[in-house]
Amino acid sequence: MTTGRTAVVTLGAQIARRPQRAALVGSPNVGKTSLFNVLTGMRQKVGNYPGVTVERRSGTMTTPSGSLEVIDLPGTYSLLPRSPDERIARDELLGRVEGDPPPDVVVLVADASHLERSLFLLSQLFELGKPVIVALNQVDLALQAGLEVDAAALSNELGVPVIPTSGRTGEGREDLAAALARGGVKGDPAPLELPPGVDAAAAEISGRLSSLFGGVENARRAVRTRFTSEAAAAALRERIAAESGADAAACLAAFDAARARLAADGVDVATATAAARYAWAEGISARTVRRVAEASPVQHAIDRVLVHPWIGALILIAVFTTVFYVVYDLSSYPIDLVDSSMGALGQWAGGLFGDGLLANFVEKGLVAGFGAFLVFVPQILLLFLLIEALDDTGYLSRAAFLLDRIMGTAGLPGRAFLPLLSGFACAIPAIMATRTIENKTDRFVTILVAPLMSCQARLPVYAVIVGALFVGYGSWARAGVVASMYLIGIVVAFFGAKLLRRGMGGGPRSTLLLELPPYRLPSARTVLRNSLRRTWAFVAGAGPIILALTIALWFGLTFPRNVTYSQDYDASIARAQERLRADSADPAAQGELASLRNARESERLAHTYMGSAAQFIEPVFEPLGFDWKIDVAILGSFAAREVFVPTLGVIYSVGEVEDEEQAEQSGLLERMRTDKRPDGSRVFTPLVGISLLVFYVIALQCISTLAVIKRETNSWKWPLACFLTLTALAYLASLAVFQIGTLIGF
Amino acid sequence: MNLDELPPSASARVLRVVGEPLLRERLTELGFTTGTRVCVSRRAPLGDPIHVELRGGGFAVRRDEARCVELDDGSGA
Repeated sequence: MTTGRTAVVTLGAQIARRPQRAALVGSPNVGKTSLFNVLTGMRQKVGNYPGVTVERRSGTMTTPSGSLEVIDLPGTYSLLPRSPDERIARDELLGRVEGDPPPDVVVLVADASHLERSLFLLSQLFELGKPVIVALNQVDLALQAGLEVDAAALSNELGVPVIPTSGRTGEGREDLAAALARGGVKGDPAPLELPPGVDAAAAEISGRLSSLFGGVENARRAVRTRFTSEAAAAALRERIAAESGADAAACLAAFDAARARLAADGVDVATATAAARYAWAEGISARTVRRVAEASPVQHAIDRVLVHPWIGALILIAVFTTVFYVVYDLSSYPIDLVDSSMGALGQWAGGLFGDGLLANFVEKGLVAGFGAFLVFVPQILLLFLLIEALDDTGYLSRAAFLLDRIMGTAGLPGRAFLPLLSGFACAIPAIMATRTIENKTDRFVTILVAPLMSCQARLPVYAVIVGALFVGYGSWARAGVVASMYLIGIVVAFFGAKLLRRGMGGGPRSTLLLELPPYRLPSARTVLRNSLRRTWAFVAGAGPIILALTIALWFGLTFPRNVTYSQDYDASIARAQERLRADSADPAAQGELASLRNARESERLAHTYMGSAAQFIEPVFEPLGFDWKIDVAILGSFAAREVFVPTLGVIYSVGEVEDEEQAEQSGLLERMRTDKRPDGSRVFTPLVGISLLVFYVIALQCISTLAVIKRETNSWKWPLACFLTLTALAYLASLAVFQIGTLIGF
Repeated sequence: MNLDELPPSASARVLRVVGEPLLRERLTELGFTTGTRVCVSRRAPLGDPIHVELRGGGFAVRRDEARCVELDDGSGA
């Protein structure tokens, strides 16, 4: 075999059928997703595998022989099924995923700078018996590390095509497409040298398992690599138990006995196979990788600064403060733009339908419902642009490294920090950002406690309550009350995370073993594409749920319509309008008109389903110190906590107000301070205020958060459990505050 | 000596991996095999986790996990 790419291609044995499906397999950080983007361009579909939270990415590419479906499998170091990601990768390769035929060809995306680790995975792939192509990726990074890989020699060693590629520059795309069109080559399983005794033991038991593997010889080959691998042995035991029928017990006993004998002979039955794969990989790597230069000192120099105990910590604070500023502050401009354009669109669209119920539905139900999820798009997109860029440079892993110990006090990994920090802006992008956490238990725990971070939408609630009820207290005391609310959320999240982890059987903490990839400049294309993909996943996955729930809330706040008012508002309004027509500058008439309208709206709201529900549940919230008016505002807050203040405005007949300033000007705060219950006691005392604040900190009153938890966990179980738990907890906490406060005479 | 005790910037060869079988196999899969040269680049603030380099790549490894990797420190142990 001569060297050069032409030699590589001649290896491609012609197969009868044109390949229809290719799967990309590779470890994390080998640039697999960048390569996937290069191959498929914008022709991608992102979804979830049924029943699990693993993201499924597929796309279509054009090859010389026609179009080909490409599946980007989850990044994995090994094909042994342990985590959901690894299980999916394996099942997909074996064609065990429902509705997905097995791939015709597998592309191993290898990392030229750690070839041994990629060859380890390749040795597992060879045993699946699929045609394989090796994409030798990140050759530039290997050169930086002073390593040169001889692709032709590697192809000769492995017996399969090896195509140098770059996911960043798109180099090698045509060669890979050509190789894919030819369908790849089935490599021979790597000749693994296992410890003495393993082969004899495998031969001994292969007769019993011949039906499982279709022949004694196949069984022997399969068992020899599984005997001395903990995860593979466990998977094989499961399979024997499930498929061997009446023989299962005897088979399992023989299998276990053989393993026990090997262990007694000093064979490490958990790791010997993995060690043998590395021994094979080292041999090939020694013959195909050359050190051509000293490794560039740049990588270590950057690490010395960025992961320095205190310089690194300062940089970390600076980076995360910037991220937080962008998500919390800078995003308000596009958010306001979305908000006001949706408002204008609603009025315009409503206007097309005149003045009646349909117009109200279009404006406040339909268009508002679209606005309810579109308003999150700027924050999600901005956060993901930053996260993807930081991740692509390799910095996010370093940040996780620096924060791992601190987050460990709550049983969470370092990667949970950034999502939780973002939670102080908004839980929606925060929950989306948990995608960077690999371990499923870690990710779920982070998702479930993220809503406890006091988001931006809670701030006006805090401000209005504190502004209305803590008059005469110094500004420091007021700030202290608000700050303690943030603290309460963090403390509940801290203990919640610990309890959840225990409840989910995750042990005290999952393993870390986090790769710290080399630093590099982020690829704008990858960052942009991934951010857009995430954002679209939110819009398509959570958008419809938010829309539907917003419309349901509109219904509850609009019906029934046949309200019998306490006075004839229409007649009074008509009289006030008449006076205004006579003298358009009559201030008394203007004021009267406004207050009549507000009073009518307040009375109407009290009679809606939502108002009735609030009065119905009043006894439930009574022990917390809330009256039905507060209950309406709480129920209304489920659309979004932002609704709390405007709803109070409507109930207290001052019209819709937005924030504390408007609440003061409109007289809402004054009305709240002086409002009395039927028995003459004040509705809002400082104690009621604290009770209400505590309720708002803890309760999950946000349908958008529920929708995004549903989207991210791929199940209704988690959002419902999270909602019920946090609401119950909020109730109990407020109950304790109010009852104990009353007892001690607050 | 175990990997968690290796001082920063020092390097040594892996003797064997001990501990719970699944974790042991996982560490082996990442390349911690007998004879592999490993180097601790640095420790995170508070001493945990540690940044380990092996086979041309870097990993963050918690000290609990690093304790499972026994090193050949030349003492013949």
